[in-house]
Amino acid sequence: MNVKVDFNNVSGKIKPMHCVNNGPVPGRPTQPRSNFDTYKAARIPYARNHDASEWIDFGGEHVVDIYSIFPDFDADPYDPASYDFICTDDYTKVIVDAGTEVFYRLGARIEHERKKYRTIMPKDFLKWAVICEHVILHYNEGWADGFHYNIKYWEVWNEADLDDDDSEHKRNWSGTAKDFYEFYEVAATYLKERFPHLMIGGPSIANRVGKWYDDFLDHMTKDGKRVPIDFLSWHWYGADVAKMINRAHTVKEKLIKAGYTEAESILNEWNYVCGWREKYVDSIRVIISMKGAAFTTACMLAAQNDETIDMLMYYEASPCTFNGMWNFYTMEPIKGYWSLYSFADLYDLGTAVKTESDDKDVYAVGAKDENGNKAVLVCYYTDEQDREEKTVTVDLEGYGSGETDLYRVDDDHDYTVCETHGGNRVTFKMKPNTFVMLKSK
Amino acid sequence: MLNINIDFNKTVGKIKPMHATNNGPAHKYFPEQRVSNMESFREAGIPYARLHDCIECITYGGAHCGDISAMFPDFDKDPYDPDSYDFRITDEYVKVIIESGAKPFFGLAPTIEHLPKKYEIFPPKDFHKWAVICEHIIRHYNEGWNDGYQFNIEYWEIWNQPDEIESRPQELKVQWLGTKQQFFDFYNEASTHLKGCFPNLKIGGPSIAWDMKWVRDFLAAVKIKPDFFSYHSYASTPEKIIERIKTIQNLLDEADCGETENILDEWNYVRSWFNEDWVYSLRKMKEMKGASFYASTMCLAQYSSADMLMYYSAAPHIMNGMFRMDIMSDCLKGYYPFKMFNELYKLGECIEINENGSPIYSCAAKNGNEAAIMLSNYSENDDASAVEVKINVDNFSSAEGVNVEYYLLNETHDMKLSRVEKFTGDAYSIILDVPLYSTYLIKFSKP
Repeated sequence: MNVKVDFNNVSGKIKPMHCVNNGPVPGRPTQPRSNFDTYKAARIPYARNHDASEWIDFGGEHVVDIYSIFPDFDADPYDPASYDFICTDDYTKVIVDAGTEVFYRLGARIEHERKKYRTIMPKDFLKWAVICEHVILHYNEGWADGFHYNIKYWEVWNEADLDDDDSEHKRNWSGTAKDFYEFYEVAATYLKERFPHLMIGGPSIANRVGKWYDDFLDHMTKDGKRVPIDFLSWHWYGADVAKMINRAHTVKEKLIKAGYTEAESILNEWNYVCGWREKYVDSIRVIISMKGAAFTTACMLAAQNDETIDMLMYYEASPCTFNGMWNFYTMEPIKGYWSLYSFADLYDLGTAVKTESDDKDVYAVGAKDENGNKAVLVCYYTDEQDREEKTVTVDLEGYGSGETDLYRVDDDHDYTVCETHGGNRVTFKMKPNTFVMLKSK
Repeated sequence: MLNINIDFNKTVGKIKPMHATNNGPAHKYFPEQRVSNMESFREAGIPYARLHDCIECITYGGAHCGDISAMFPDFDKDPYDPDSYDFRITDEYVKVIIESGAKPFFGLAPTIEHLPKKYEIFPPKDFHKWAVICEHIIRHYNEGWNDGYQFNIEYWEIWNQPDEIESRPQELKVQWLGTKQQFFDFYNEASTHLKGCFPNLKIGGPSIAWDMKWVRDFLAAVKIKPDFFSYHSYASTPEKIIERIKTIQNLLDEADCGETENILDEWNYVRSWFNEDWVYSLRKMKEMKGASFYASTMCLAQYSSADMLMYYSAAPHIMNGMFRMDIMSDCLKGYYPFKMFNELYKLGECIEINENGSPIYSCAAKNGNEAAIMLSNYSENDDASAVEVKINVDNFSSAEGVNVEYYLLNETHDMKLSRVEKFTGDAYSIILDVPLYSTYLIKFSKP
């Protein structure tokens, strides 16, 4: 099979496809266990802080969620004493110290439990928005002994569409879809008015990109109004990369049709899932395997090559079952870590060049910088069993002279140089569910 | 060759619950994304599961499970009013434990707080009110109060690890922000009230972390002798754990608390809490070394003055050597010693062993026509050798002979039947090569 990379043909920028949900585990003086150094080394552009309150390492119940920061909804939202920022301050600082920008989800973690606390619909939408305003003021403008982090992305709520309106087990939003549309309108309108320079968006759609999404957009635009949607966030879990791209097209087309032509489309939860019940454990096993790493790389490459996705945020970098990047116990990197690490090398180069693969299972992206450094990331991902090894030829148009180092990530290699090639055509073998980086020396 | 003599006529009491754990199965209420270890928990016959640090585990219900602050969120409310309580999530968790066959051992305490800000580890602002709240929690689970249950939970433990270093800065304290004397006053108030309300239940505590001087002072200060005294020990050899058990027993005896149960309710393999030795400890908990440490500690402690051992932790926690934290349905090597020890526990009668301790740790039990021996080769030295063992068995025979089954735990066997033999005669010997960190359960049965 063949990959053609034309370094004379610039196709745009390398986009932030290697963002994640949540930051590094900071460690403690005793019982130290941290991935701070490797997290920082991965050069992750943005970390969404959703579901942080599930993890004691980040501060547990006292962190990020509005319910945690503003524990008594009846308190005065203008009084600094009504807020409890300490654990969230520490967690936010760890992310910033790692060189990553915070992508702040205003809302609540998912509640799988029988009784709900955080995901209950706020009893006063405007007051909830005022509370969020002060959270933003704290982190961006120093209010209440705060900071000047200039956090850009502020997301209103998470997965309000996950369960049916009449479900007895609503995990993310206790109200109806209509309630949520009204809530989003109040919150986003208020926050955008207060902070016109920030990106205010949402609503982190779980999977209902049909009627639920249509109704959402209708509500935001009915009677000529235009509720702020600086970015539209949505989620996708699956095993077929093409389906992710199909959903991205659906999301973007509807967004444009509704008049939000400038709104960013941000896929801010995604991972390999082949089933949520019987096959759920199988899914976890794949996520933490080499196949999971190949899937992760394939998704990033496919999304980079697709015009409808502006940002990808992997779920999840926290110490949870969806984390294919770090060992659950020791927080040492596992195979999926190298997926994001290698993409960061493309991101550092900055400029994407035209790259074409003639095999649907082989994904590739080429990049270059102003100093003549060039790289191509190639991934062979398949969800099918017993697939054959492939011989891959990469034609490097406009590459210039010089040698090329070939880095492999497979069962035996963690992004290590295995071969060095000369010339503008590089041929190598790839086993299924592995990836390779070609870098100019 | 190491000789171990076992005379099955020499009984030394009952097999004790050395295989209890901190926390119960991870069995999510909602079936989507459920990864359950309920069946494995049940098969291991875990006798007791201590509710402590539950709120660290989102699978159990996080902030809304187990702690007093979860069940009585606003301390200023009326403790006699059912509406002041929020039992919903804790109810679910307690029912999961009971469904697994384990009995809850209820920690009336806050979860450890490693956070920069402290929330629940302050001395309660009204000791008596705190005791009244606990009284109603007990009534909920044992007497049906407030739409409750009749679970007859026997053990109720007051607080956890109050023996902080008083000179430490407040932000580094993790379990008790008061003074030692404040804790003694608090404990006396709580235990007096609860024992007065429930003379039939076991009221004790206080789950000491490390300070033996503190223990002596505590035992001198208590107004009512605790029904059980609980404490913790993390170590790299079973001998160090036994040393702690003995020290506690001596202190109990000195304080005329000989009837108080001696309960080690947190233990695990820890070489050190710092730096690379801590990460080494975490690794070993999940490997054969940890499994052998668990088997050896339970065996040795059976012959000590400990009345119960509770492993820390069976929760989805980094110190869980029994189940994979990311896939709780997968048993780790450290699960099988608990399942093996349960075979002895079911037999009931403990048998004397002449030679016990480094390098071979063992325990024997019988019940009529069945008997069993569990043994493990453990050393803190990772380069230690295999040991050849000769087990000389007396007084377990029958005219038709005795069937002997060998269940092996090593890198390739997960308590799998690896050998079957038949012995005849009144006395016989078994010769075994026991590689480092491997564990055997040998079951004897008369036809």
